[in-house]
Amino acid sequence: MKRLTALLLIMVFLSGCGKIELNNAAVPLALGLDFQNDELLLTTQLANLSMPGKAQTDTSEFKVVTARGKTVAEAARNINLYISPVPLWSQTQVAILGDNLSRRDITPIVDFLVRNRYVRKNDLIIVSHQASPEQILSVKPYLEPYTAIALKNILEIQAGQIGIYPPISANEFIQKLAAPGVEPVIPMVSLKKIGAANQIELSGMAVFKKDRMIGQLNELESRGYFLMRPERYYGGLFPVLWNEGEKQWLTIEISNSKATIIPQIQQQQLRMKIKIDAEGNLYEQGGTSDLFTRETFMQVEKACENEVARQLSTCIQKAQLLNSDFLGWGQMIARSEPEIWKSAGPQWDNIFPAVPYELDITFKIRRTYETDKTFVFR
Amino acid sequence: MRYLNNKAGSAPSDSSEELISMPISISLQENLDRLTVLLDSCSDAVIREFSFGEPYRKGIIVFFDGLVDKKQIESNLLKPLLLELNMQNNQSLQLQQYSNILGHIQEHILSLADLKNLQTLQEVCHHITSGDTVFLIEGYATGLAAGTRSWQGRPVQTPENEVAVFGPKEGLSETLRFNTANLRRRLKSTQFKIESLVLGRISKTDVAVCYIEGIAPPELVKEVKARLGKIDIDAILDTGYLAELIADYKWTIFTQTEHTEKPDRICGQLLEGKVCLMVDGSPMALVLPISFPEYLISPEDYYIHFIPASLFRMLRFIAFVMALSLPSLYVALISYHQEMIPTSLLLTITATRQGVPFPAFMEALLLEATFEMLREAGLRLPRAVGPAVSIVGALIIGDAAVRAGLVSTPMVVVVAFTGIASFVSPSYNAGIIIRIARFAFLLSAAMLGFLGIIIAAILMLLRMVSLSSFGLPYMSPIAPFNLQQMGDILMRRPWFKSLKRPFLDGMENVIRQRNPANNGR
Repeated sequence: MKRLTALLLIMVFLSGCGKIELNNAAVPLALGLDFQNDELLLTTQLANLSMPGKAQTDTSEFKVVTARGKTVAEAARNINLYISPVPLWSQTQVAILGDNLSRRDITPIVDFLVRNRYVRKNDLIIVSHQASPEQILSVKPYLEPYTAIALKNILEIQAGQIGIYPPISANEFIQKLAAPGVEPVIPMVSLKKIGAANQIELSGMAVFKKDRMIGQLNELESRGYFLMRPERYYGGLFPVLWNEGEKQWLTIEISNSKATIIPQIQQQQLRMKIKIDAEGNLYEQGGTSDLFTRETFMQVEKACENEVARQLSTCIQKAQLLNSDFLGWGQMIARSEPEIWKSAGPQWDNIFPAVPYELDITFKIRRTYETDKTFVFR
Repeated sequence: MRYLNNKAGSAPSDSSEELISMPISISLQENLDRLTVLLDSCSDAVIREFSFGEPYRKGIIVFFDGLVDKKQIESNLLKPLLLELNMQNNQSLQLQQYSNILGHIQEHILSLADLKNLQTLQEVCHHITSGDTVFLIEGYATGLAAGTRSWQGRPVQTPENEVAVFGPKEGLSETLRFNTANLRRRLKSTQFKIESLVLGRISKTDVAVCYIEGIAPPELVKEVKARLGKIDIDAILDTGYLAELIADYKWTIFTQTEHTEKPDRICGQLLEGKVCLMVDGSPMALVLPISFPEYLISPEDYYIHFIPASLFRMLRFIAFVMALSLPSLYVALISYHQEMIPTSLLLTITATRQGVPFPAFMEALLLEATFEMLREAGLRLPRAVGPAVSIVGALIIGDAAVRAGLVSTPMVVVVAFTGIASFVSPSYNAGIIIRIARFAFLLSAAMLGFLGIIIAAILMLLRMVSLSSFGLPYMSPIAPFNLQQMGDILMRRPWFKSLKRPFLDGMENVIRQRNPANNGR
């Protein structure tokens, strides 16, 4: 009994390893990494919290702090040289890679992303374009207290609403860096001057090859990439130019799209067959010419198919131009034709830019939202 | 009629031990002397001496004032003897002509419903202390005990602690006879047995063992009686004494019996083969054996429609888990596992914790302890000061402590929620178990986070599955698992599907409904 009591007392008083009290903790919402003067820069956005109901002297919603170090972990710990609370790193929402870092070499940070248990693997990963992570995180966003959360929400919401840039998690980024036959491509954020203040804006995607960023995708190419991702694609809309008769823009909402990419061998020649099965709705018509006849409606579908084909082919051309297989064709070949990959793999860099492809796109318009007539002025 | 006065110096106490074991003497004077010694310093004892018949024969009646119905003694005992016997004698019926005067009186004179023959002073004392009137006459070594018990008892009232919306609203009271009658009225069968025994050397408390013959396992009844038989204690003042004395496992917070003051609940349990113990002087009956999951079953479940009843029951199980683990989960989350909290929630919690001086565990402990104190104080508060304590509790602890920055608001919310959840349990016993175990969970959460909670839960479950209540495994029917009975634990089985009783080991008659024709669609 005495021993048991002693044990209990020891447990009570010596316990608490790994314990962080929230009383002296700060919540970092973003992990920004950059490179400057041979040192790694770690920037984070700490939520500036105060007791509700208490008068606050410092009314800013957040503090952006940056620390330097030889390694990422050292830089992260260096933060505590000048702020007192312990940052709960596991709460970060986004990881921002600085322009300098990603264009130069991301080798110094990759191991940190993989190994460190405080890096959330479902953090969205973003490249800050023509800006440092510190600049991005210092922006006071519209209608949302924290830039990091705003950035995360922007990424996720635009994917469903407009469908241009797929949000990429840190996990996917790491996996694509490590896997053969596929390269990562991640959204970019840049500063946009609105009046006197800066705002954040998504602006294309950063294409990686091996350890660095080698180029970028524009909006159209990003759409093509998004559509060709292996996941099912929901939501998002794009305008289609309608040239028959009256020239007008149609808005087409994609309700469901599925891409199937199959490597094929024809006459000793490797070619990629890209099949897209998409369904969409006619969301808006920019003119008054009657679209709702059997013939024109099929032509509308055809126009949609052409538009999708345009998005895909510009994206593929860009990939082949940059010679970065972010479409994952190499991986697909390795999976379905391992024999070919065995010989093609080592010289994939030479083969990829010239791989022919074939697009097979079906686009069906399913709904016109209870309005089966074109609006007519009378 | 005279009250016995305190006679200084008479009747040394060692001789009263001797006296009480003596048989009733033939000589009335001797009996009178002995009773005077035994009843020395009992100011409420009354010995009434009188003569009756022709020729006069001496007799006494002994009773305790306050326990008897004096009107009944007067009209059914004294009046027949003193007046009506004389009137009969005038009709030249001499008392002398009866060889057995006592027998004659018993058979022809006394108009009392309940008469018993007594042989020893021990019995005399037992009967008079129980409220009977003992009648002794000269020349007979036999006494008559007349059932004249009558005292002011609490009438049948609505139970205060087990409030029900549906179903019977009667509660037990302190008088055993009222209670047995209450049960008998619900189970009008001679199969329903109420065995009586007397426990307590001084209190001589009547204890009733109730069960339904043919349903309750005979082994169980035998075991209960055997365990009761082993009790040798000076007094039994409440069923709580028995609960502790006859439990299988005594060194544990997991009580193995159920207290209730609702006769309908008792009857429901008896029909499931349980045994019920009632103690004179206590409005709480003891139902046994009981398994832990049954603590979360309210008798009301069986009175309302089975679909809402099942939903309420599930709600109760959820509330039980919450009441047990919510503060510890919260402490573990905010001290160890912040990564599991959604960021927006963490921001809110962190904001409220800025400047709070205590670590989360201390804060939880303080608030929980305060809550328990408030609750304990509230139980025993005179009605007049009740609102005052509520105001102090609500304003000072709830509001001022938060404003002063001593505690954080989410913690107050968690503790308040836990408090509400712990009141959901229909059984007070289960509530006590939750309250105690909650602190153990809190401590282990503070030490090891979720791992600690898991360890505490495992230890608690290990203990619970190793217990039994009169041979019924404590966690049955969950462990050992019984699918048939589980149908009436997590959900309330519809009556039209309740063809069998929940099975107790050794139960003879498990058929509840004989005609399953009305099985419904």
